[in-house]
Amino acid sequence: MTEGTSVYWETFARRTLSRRRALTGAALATAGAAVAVACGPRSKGGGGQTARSSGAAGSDAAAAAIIGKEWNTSPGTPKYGGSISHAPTAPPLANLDPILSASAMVHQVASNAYSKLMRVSRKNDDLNTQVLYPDLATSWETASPTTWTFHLRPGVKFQNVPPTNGRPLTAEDIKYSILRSGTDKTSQLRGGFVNLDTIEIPDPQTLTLKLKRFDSLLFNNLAGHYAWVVPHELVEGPGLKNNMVGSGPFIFQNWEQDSQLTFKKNPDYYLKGIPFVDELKILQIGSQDDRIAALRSDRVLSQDQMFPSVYNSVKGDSHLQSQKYIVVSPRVLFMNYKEPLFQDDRVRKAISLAIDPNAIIKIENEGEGLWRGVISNQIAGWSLSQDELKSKDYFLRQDVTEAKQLMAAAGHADGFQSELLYNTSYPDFYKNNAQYLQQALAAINIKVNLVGQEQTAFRKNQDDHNYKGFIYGLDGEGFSEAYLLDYRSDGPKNGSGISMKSLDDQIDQVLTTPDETERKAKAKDLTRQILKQVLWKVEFDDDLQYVISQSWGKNWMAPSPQVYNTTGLAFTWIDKS
Amino acid sequence: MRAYLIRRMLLFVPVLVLVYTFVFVLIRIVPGDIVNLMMEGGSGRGTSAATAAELRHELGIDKSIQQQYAIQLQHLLRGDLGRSFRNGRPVTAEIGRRLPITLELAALAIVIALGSALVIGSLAALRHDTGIDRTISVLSIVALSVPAFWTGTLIVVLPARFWGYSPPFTFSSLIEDPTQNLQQMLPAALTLGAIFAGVLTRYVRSSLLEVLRQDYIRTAWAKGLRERIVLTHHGLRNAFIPVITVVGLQVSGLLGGAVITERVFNLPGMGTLTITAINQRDYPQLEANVLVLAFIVLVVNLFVDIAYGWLDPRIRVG
Repeated sequence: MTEGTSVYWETFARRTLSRRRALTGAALATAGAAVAVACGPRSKGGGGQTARSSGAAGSDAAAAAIIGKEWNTSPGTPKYGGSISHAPTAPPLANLDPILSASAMVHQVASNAYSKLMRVSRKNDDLNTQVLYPDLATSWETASPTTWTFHLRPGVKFQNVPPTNGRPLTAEDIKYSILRSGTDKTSQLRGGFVNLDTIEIPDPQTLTLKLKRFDSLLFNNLAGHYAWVVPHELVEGPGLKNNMVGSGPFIFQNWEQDSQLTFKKNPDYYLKGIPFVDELKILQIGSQDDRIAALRSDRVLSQDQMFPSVYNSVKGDSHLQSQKYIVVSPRVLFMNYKEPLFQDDRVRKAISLAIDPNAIIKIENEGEGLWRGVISNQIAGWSLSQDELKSKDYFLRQDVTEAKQLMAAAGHADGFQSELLYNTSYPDFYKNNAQYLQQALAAINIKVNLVGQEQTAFRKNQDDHNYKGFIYGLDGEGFSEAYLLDYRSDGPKNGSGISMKSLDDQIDQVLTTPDETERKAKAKDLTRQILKQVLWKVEFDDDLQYVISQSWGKNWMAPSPQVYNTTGLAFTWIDKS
Repeated sequence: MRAYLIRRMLLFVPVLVLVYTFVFVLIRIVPGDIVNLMMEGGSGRGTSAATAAELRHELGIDKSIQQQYAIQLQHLLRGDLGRSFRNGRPVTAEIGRRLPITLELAALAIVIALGSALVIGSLAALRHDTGIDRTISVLSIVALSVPAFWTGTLIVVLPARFWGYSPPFTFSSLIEDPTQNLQQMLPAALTLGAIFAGVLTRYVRSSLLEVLRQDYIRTAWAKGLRERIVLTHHGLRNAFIPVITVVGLQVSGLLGGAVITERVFNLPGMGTLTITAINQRDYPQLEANVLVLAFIVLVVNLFVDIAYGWLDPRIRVG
């Protein structure tokens, strides 16, 4: 044996034991972990505990009386206790300040800790009909179209945690909050208050809003998510980005970003006996597959905006129940207002005629949907009928022959080249729809080059109208006549960059009409005008989708997609009997 | 050795500065900023431009790139990595919460991968050119070819479909609730570890085959040592050197690149934090994440280099 080899064996002898020990230890640790997982209990976050019988605040009868007046009712006796986990279908949550974002998630979260003047729900048997309930305001009246008076609920207190420590909530707090939403320079919600003039407090239980002119959207905004009542101590102190202290049914405990928010029942909530559950968790689950798995494994209460195929795959699960409803599909084809080609209404009409809305519905929602004009079908009574939308009066139907004739009359028989910008961060059906649009336009010799961009760059280009030709993007959502705002020159989702004073004036005329019947009629007339001229946008459809929820979640009312609230969680109880 | 360590660590500084500068400039060149996203869905009606300007001013992104860089460098020198544009929290707070999650996932994946690769790769080498060897080769190629999102999705979806079970989708640390932690982590680690195991198995096999042909191995056989002793005490130790290089490279990838697995299993780790920071143009969070991840990669590579010397005394560092 050579000297080098001798050194090798000596060194080896010194080192063997420590490495052997290390490998053995690692193997034992892994095996132990595997055993722990196999033997560990299946932990559930979705209200898996059966509700304990009362011993908590409020009697069953009292609670039933409350929810009859303050929210939807459903059969059954309320039960107390337990924990509910809810996983909304909503974008990621950046922070908790409700005025910094108009996206759904922050308001769905806020609705558990904060209150506002009214609550919005839907009819149990018709999810497309909205119902207003009192919240901080028990009643309201309009002395004139520009003077609205709200009578406030007595005895409401902020939650008994710092910095409010359970102090009374006053009319001044409501005024403060509305003005914060309406005037703070960073508020995303400011545009909702452009017609608010002053707020007066004639007495501690009364709030009077004076408007510059009637604004139908303002009332909806106050009931929706535009005016959560927040304490000034929190705004002036630690701020609202990472904190929530309100007067709502649940007290905020903790937020792990991109993971979950935890709430506990507010024992001092002004509706005695509400909420029913002791704990609420809002989970942020990014993937739809995960959310469906969580639903099937009893980990979460409900999922909304589910496709028909998902409904078909889960309808056999005995512990789940479902309801069908109309969900606005805000995906539209914008044409750049600045491009000379699109100034010719014959070209715009030809483009609209080249596309079949049924094809879009098939791609994005498996064939279940409704044609949409300007205003979504979601709220009954505002949109044109399906027969009217499909008639020859308008250009939503597909007619390639007529489209080619129009292109020829406009001097573009040979078509032209253009681009179609779409968002690659959205689900796959966006890209599939963009490809369909490319094919449809090719049939009338418009050759579009598809350009995909990720979310933020896409948003910037849509907002700045920095694109060539077409953009396949989102228009706005909201209450009924709010869809008209997307045609307004300063509208939030005016992706085409339309700027027509006459159109702005007509839109304002609708929004400032106090009588709802008259307003609906005007909205429909304006819709007809817009559709007849194809004003730089083709809107396709609304989808028919499903809310699927656990059968043990009693009295749960899933939020309306245009009302970013999960207020219904306070009125939901667990009953696994 | 000490001098070597000091030299290597001093080299960290220019590397980190370069990485930081590259990311700083690149993310600001990309179109769009967080204000575009914050404005999404806003109520408009004449307020959009003013609100956007105010928001940009508040965040300091209305200045030129050079001005922003100078300001940020000053903060960096004071040890201040800044606050997230999204929620205003110190970026280190979020990293402190999420890095352990990614480290735990990476560690479990490595343990699973290394443990299985050492066994399976050795078996393939020892039974070279037999049916066992060929089967293991095919399986390892399948393991490294199947994408993580597919395997992971099946692990989540199939049990929910057939047995009403899914892993938890909210994270609990090992200290808070070890059972829930492992219920969530182990499937994710298995998904990631399977791919890694496929890669490592092939390296272990080929490296061990090379080592088993050496004279000292023949000497060990000649001495009458049992196969297990020859393999574990002589073969694997020397075959491990290229393997540890691959482990070092994979660790870097695991730390920053387990995004898909984190997303499938809803793990709030560094991968998802970084991707979210990119998508939402959260500049301070992204820059801090990249700095931290770059630092970890540098440290891991340093350890790999030192480990060479431990494994084979003939290789001396410093």
